[in-house]
Amino acid sequence: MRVVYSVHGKILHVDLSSNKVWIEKYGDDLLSRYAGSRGIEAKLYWDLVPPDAHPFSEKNVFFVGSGTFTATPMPSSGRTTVAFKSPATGMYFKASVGGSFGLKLKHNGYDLIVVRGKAEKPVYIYVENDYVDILPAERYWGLDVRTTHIELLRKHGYESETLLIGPAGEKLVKFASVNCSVYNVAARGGGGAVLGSKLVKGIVVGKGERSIALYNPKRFLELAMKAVYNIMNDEALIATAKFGTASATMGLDKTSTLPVYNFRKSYWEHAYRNAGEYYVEAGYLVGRVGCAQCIVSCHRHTKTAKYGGVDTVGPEYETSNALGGNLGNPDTDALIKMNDLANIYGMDTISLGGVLGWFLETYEKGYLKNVAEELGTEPTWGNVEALLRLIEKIARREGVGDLLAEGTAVACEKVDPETCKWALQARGLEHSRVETRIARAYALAFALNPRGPDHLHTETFAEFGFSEAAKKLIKRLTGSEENAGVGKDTGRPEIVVWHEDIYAVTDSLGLCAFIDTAGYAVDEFMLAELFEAATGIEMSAEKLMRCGERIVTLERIIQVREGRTRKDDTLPWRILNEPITTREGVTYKLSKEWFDVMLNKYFTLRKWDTKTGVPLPEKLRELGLDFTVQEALKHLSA
Amino acid sequence: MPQALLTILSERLVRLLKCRESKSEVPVESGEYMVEDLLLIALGSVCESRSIPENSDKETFIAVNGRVYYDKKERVKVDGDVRITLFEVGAGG
Amino acid sequence: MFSVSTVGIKISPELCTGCELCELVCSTYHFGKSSIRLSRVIVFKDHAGAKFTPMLCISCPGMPCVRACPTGALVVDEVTKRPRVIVEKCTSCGDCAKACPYNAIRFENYVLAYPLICDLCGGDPQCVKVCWPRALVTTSDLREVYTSAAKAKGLIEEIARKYRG
Repeated sequence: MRVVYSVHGKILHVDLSSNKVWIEKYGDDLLSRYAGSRGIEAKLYWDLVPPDAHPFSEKNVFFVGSGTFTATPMPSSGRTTVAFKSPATGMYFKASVGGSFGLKLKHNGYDLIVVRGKAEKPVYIYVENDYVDILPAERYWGLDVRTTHIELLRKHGYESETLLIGPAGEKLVKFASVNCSVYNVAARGGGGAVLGSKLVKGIVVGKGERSIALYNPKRFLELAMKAVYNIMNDEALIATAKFGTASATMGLDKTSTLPVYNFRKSYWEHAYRNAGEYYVEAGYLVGRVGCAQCIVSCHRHTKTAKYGGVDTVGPEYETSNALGGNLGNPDTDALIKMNDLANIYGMDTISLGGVLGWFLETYEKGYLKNVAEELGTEPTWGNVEALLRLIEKIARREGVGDLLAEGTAVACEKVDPETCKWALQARGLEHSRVETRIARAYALAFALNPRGPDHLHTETFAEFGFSEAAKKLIKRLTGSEENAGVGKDTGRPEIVVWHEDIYAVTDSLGLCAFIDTAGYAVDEFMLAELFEAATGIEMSAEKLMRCGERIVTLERIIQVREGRTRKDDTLPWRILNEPITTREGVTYKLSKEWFDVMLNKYFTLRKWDTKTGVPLPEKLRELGLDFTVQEALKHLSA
Repeated sequence: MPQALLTILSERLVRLLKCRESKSEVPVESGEYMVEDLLLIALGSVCESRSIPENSDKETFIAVNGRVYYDKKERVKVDGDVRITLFEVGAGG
Repeated sequence: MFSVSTVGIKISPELCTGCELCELVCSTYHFGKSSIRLSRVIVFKDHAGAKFTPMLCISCPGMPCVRACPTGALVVDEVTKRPRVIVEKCTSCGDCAKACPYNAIRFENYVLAYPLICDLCGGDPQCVKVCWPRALVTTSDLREVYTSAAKAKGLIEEIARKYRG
């Protein structure tokens, strides 16, 4: 195992049950096969998390890792990957987060941290270079993320960085988040609850004194500067920098792919109130915030004097829609307040919006009428007072909040299975904010996503064809620019496969997916060159995409081992059974038949068994995943 | 008299419409207007073009007082300052 | 490229997004290694308040750093007119960093035995090239350089107070 470049080759293991801490070293072999954080974490997950582990037991393991390009001069490469078994889906779950935690983790000499076991009392993990400790966290237990961050920095030095859970994680809210640098959130899947179940308030890393050695620093810097130039000239990234991710809102509204009122409609006359341009026009935006190393800096620093005065970061696109139009809420001041509450209590806004949307429709249809008394107001569409109170209750699991904190899948069963028809969730995860009955690459990607019906694993934004670069990519993947645009079916499996593979590589390198799947400032060819210059490991675009394929396939077999089958490759009931009509009066409907055709095509492209969705042994061996073949065979003969 | 406050949020649009500036303020009489007429008044004070070219390769959005109008023939009431904002489609996630 | 003696870098705290790419580019450019600890530009961050600013040597007229150096290891460069470290003479006392009114000198002796002071990369500042938010831009208006640094200094002191233990 020779010296590694660009990463430290060090994994920090913490076992809370035995109070032991140790370092695992790894080398080029692992890096060249798995590209970086997400891939390595998937491999470790396969090794360490038993398929029958309960998400809240000490057998669950929490992984957090910085990317291969993190702490190098490569722009937009400070993304950090977390992984765990999700209490919402009961399966392997990966989430990505910005902020500066990963950047500082690497400055302390570690690439990844693996947390297993359970503490007896609330603790936090402290890392500073060679010093690692498990410290008492009682005085922080119950505090919101913002307050905890400030307190911890006062204690450990203001150049420290934090990864924290809020009160929602402590209360095991099923969609509790993990927050880095306060407002950057690994939101989905209930990672916050996993740490909460381990009685871990968070991890603090000190300023750190290590540096990253690059194999060919001059070449790497040259390529990084080229990436900077490309980013500054990418039209999608220019818009995202200025107006944030919520600049997607009106494009979606125009194409009737903007889900509102719990996916009952897909366009809205008040959509602009949830748009990034509106935040600028109306003066809510007071500054921009960037994840580590990211010059796009799409995150929003917003303020409002209303609702007691709010000074916060956000809302992103998903939040703007999930807590805006999804709930019939055009009140931007309220939206900013709701986003802040989700930030500091530590909750995923997509799932929060999903469960609230379900709840409003459930109440409208005559259920849970007593909640009006509990709230002191009727929970109706756009009733901000009710929504704010509900959010507070969910974070504390108080009253009806205790039901809603379980997530839509569990809540609808508890109330009445009939209400599950408008539960916009599949496999336990609430559906992301795009109308998949019309955006069909998204529909297929969502159905296959190991997380659930969600966009942060593929982001097939090119499907919309909103830019020249997007259209070119569609042509490259499907043979014709004509296939760009929503409402179409041709080439969707090919589009999904490419996006899944490159996203896996992107995550592992620590790069932000907006740079190569929403904007197109770098492609797999440039990434391969960067990888070589950084690590000294021989790499080509083809080999790099192979890493992506390897990671995606490994994640699939992990979930097969946890019980996933083809019947899990599906979408919420409403999406499959109800049609949606555009502003222009065109009706779209997805069907089981459509899915069967698409899934068959996808599985054939992937060389996975079309009947079960299990990766075939020949493909597993081809990818060097021989250690999973035995598991695959178990499910193929069944 | 009420003012029509124009903001053009896209530099590309500023160039396309041949505008001197990206912001302008021009008095407008109270009353009911079609969106395209309001646009004409607002653009006229600072741009060479008086309307959005139809076959532009990017979608242009027009928002009046915090609401986007797709149909430029829709009517809006002006009884106070009116904000007109022009922008193009973004990326997001 | 420009003549370093007549140009400076204007700092705009209200535009800084706290990404710290400037620091990583600076260290790699100068040392071939990537680390915040080896950067001549220093980024101060308040994540909870979403306020950030870079800081670097503005070659202020008084040059208290040069006057504070007990061994003459810090001199005014004849060509650039900026403070320059003569490494062999430095005794790692840190007085220059303490004397700098702008917190613009990085002296972290557990990483490097001598202080790091911005040299404008000899005329082609790399940090400016990567700062898309334009929190760092080159300017020949030296007054702008001084007033902007004063603003940044104000924010740095505010952050220090907020996170004081």
